[in-house]
Amino acid sequence: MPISARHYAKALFEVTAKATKPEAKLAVDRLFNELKSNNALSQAKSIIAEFENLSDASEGIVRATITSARPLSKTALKEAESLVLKRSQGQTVVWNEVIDEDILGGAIIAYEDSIIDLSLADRVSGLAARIKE
Amino acid sequence: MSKTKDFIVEQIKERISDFKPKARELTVGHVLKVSDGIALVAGLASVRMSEMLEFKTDSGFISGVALNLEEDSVGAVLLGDYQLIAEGAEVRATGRILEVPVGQGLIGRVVNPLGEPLDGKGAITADAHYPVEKIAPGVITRQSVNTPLQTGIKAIDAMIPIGRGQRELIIGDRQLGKTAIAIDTILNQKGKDVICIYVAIGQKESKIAGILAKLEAAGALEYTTVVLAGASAPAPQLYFAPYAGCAMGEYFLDKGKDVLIVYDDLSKHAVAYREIALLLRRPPGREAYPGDVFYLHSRLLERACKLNKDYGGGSITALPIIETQAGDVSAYIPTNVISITDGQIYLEPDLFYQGNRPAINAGLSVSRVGSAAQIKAMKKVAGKIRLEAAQYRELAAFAQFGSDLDEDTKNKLERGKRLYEVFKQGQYAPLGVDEQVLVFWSLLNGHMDDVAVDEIQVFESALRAYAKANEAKTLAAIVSGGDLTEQIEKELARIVSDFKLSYGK
Repeated sequence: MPISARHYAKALFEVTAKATKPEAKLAVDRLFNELKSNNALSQAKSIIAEFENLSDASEGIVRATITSARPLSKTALKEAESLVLKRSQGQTVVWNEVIDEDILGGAIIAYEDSIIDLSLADRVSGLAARIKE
Repeated sequence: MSKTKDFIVEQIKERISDFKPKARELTVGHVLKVSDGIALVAGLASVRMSEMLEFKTDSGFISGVALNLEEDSVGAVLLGDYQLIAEGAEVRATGRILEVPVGQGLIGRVVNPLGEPLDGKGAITADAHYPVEKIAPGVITRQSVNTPLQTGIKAIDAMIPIGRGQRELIIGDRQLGKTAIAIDTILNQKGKDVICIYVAIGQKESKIAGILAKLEAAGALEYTTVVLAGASAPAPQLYFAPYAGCAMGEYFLDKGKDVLIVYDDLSKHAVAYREIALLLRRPPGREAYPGDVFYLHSRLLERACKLNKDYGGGSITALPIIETQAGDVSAYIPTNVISITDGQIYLEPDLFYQGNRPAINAGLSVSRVGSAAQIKAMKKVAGKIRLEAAQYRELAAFAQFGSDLDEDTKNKLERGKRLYEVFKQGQYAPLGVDEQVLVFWSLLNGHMDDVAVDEIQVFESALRAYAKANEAKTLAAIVSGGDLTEQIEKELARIVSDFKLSYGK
């Protein structure tokens, strides 16, 4: 059974959890030798992404994208952060802010495997559907 | 104008008065790989088995079903055009399992396995949505099969009777008349308060067009729904088609009605499932079928049942069709389905090419429900019919020694030849049980012994026409009473004798 990027990343993460910089460098060299001998160098990018996910999870960091029609105030971001932290296992949220005027207002929050749609556009389409009924 | 304006505003306010907008929370993933109708999706950590998914495309959403839950990904089958889905596309979990629209609005329509109309007669009004996969009714809810489902085919109604709630397999090689038996059964349900559903799985669209034309001409579409997953449909649609048809039938079952479902055919269904399983990288077993191919058909056919009065008293009768290769009934899929069903109707090529059509091998065919699914009148003649047919089959090998046989054997052979002539029946010509009883009674009581073997079919046809035209009361008495009383038997004797006089015998 081929070893997935997630398995490589998990192995690297566990090995380097309490490692010093030289030890970590050695672990990375050995990983790349392993990837070379398994013809799996193309998985390097995926391994980096998975490693970052594992690292974030261990530090309680949740990476989330918030899409809004206009730039959000600090208060609004704080509220969004508490919403995300209530639903996830994390302790802090790192935001990627996206502006999209098509959502009209409100925000769409995407984190881990979930999307919370608080946009005005969604409510308008819900209202339109109710009127059509 | 202001009054109209106020009225409109009031109407809108009324409709949205209890509208409470809620934040929608969706579980999402993204497509890693898509090919051949299968998508591999990353994310969706909390998605459940058989959950419906929605794949976002530029032209809207395409439905799919999660069938493989793996450590790092979810394998899903796509129910639409997979070429519209790009790698990285958003996938949403719906929290629902696959459902189809059900209700009266489906009768007379041709739909695909998702319940979408294919006949161009407009949108379908559904009374409800039923899940495609459902656990079969339990033991306590059922009762024994005790009501006949008349196929209108003499050989079947006499020797292999089918009851409402039974599963009777139709099995044989290609082009032997398996579908013809099923269609004749559907045609014979006219006026019998049975809803029919014909599920076409992997069939040629030209064949289905012909069947539809026949059903429409005979007025059968008034009580029939056709679920079509043709040969050009993607494998996931072929996979779900029989379950969707069964869900449509269960709507009527829950209302206490009798339903007949034909699955044509389950061999192609198994092949479609094998295709999906191999593409999902499930380990192949015997003949490359996945390990749960038995469960594929058992959970479908167990949903055919006869419910007791406490649960509405409705029934679903299933007629699954299996196509064999070179008559091999011991192959994997045929033996699986034979062991699940309550009997089989086996069609034989030799009989077909000898002109015995329907080409039913009475020796290998069986109905495990038996005479419990026959009215008393038919039971009286059928027992003797079965015996005569069995004796004839045993003695037929000695037919070449005609001059060396005793009188009794010769008589049995002659009777058997006439019996097999009576069993011959044209397509799209189902007979009522009253006519069948008349014909079999006449044969068993020797009224056809003086008719030449090659004239039996003409004689029988003329006898039935005579009885229908002149003695409808007696025929009606057989159906209403259900029994062959002494009085009715005397009437039958008189009818046959009068007919023979007019026929010139």
